[in-house]
Amino acid sequence: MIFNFKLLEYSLSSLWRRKEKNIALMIVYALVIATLGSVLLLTHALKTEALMTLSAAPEIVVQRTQGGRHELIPVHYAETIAGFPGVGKVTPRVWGYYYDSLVKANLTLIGLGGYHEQLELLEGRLPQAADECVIGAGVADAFGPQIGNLLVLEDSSKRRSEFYVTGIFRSRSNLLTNDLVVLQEDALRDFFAMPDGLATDLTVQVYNSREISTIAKKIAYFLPDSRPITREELLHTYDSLFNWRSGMMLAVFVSALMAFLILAWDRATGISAEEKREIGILKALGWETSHILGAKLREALLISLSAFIAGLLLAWFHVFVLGAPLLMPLLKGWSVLFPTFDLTRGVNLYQLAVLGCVTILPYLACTVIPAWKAAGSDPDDVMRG
Amino acid sequence: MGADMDNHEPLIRIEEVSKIYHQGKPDEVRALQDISLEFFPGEVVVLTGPSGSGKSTLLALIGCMARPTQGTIYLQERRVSRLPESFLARIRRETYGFVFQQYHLLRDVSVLDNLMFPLYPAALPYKTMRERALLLLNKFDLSDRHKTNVRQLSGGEQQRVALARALMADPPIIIADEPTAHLDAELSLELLKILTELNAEGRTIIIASHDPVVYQSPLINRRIGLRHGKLVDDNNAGAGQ
Repeated sequence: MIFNFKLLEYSLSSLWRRKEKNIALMIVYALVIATLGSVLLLTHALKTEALMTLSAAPEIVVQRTQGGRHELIPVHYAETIAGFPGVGKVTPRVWGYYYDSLVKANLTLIGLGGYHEQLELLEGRLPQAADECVIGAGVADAFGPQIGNLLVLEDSSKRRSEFYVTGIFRSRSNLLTNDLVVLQEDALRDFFAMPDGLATDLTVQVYNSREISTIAKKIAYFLPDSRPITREELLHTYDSLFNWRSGMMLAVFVSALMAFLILAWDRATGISAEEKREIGILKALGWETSHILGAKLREALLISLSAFIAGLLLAWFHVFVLGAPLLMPLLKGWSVLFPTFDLTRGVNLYQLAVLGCVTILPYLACTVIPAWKAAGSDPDDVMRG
Repeated sequence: MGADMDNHEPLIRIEEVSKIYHQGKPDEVRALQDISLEFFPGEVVVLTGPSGSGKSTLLALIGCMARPTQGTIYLQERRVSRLPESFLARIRRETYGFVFQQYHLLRDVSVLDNLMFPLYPAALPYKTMRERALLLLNKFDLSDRHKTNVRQLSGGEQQRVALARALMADPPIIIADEPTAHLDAELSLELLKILTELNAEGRTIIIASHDPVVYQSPLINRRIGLRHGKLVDDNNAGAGQ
């Protein structure tokens, strides 16, 4: 025990003696970890965010396709689907995208009809008249209106429509609500010139989650021009989307990781004459190879673990305190609006373990192997160089 | 001090030892060739010879800091030339005190820490190590410098620190490689005085030096000459027998 403390004391003293070099190395190391860690933390947070939001989504959404394109779906399809055993409520939804050239943003306009149950986290109240709306936090940030103000939109024929804002979403999870504008269904049909009897899609409630895929197949069979999308498929799509994006980001930052590893290898394999001399002296004074390796391993662990923890703290601060300003535009990309929103704080331990393995282990190897080569030689050889 | 020595048995016995550096490579160097020697307890031996004669190599072999390419080395009749490194490290730690030409102190470390490093593997309590180090520093008139960074010491002070460090494990054999190379005549004589005291305590002292202040000193009771890696002179061979 005493010897272990002594080795640690020696390692600290050794690190301090080469403090300029070691501090520079730790800064580079911590920045690499902070960069890679930011991507992993942000991806995890976005996936958690999407998962949390989609957990309240309908079990099945049914769209209609014609000629490979999405088309409005007849509302009477709802009656056919509602007749299948195991199906609960079938609700037609009316919604569409709206591009605002002024703020260069896409908004999602939805009719209130099928959304009552899902729009719980609201400040103000839901629209009760054709000239009222509720907007997402991102829309409020981008356009500026608050409750009681007017939101002015232009339809495809350049006709101005004015809506009083009666509420703003302040959802804890607002990834999917930040670009929303909720209108009364009739107002939305009027705005998009959407005929009665047609909807954008249908939501299907299924009582038994094990029957979801069977019912989806039945819908596709009985309504051949329909395209049922299950919640699992949506979750899988979002998961893949964020994995793909974070994968792209990681691929870019892997070059930074490689640069760091090359630096570490260069630093370690190019063990300085001073360090070799020191190893030789210690061996001549009676230190065994295992003692020297123990000391060098402690040095490497102190550097790598300190830098790893510092990098993770930096990543945490960047992602969860600052809102990931350096990565958000690349990774989020959910809509063109980029409102600030609080990410759900969380860490994927598996990802951190992988990050630790791909940085700490190579660094330890880079440091200990050359020290082992030097320490394994006779002290006379080491001191002669 | 370490083990009691019988004056009639050789402390160290070297049999037909050769040392070749970079063997088989273009820069091969035959540092020592067929050297056979015996060293007895309590001797003060100086290895003399010009630079490149093999003095430092012979010291390294005697001190178990290198292994011979050929031949055998015995320490108290134990064959040490082929022992594994961990055993050799223990022998170096417990049997030898080294004083190097360049002092080989750890830079940017205090005098006290430099003295304590050799005892780290012994896992002694910090208090014991510190007391022993301060005692030795007091003996060498360096007690007021124990917190000083060794870089700030003069050459003579560094040499005394190196000598104090060599004595930390209370070794029976002191090995000194050109200990006066960086000292003026006055400091060299001071060092010899210290070595005389250490010899009086019963330690065997083996010095490599081509400094006349050392090899002409009355302290020295045996001179061994080397040239081109070969033994050319041993003025008192077998003195201890």
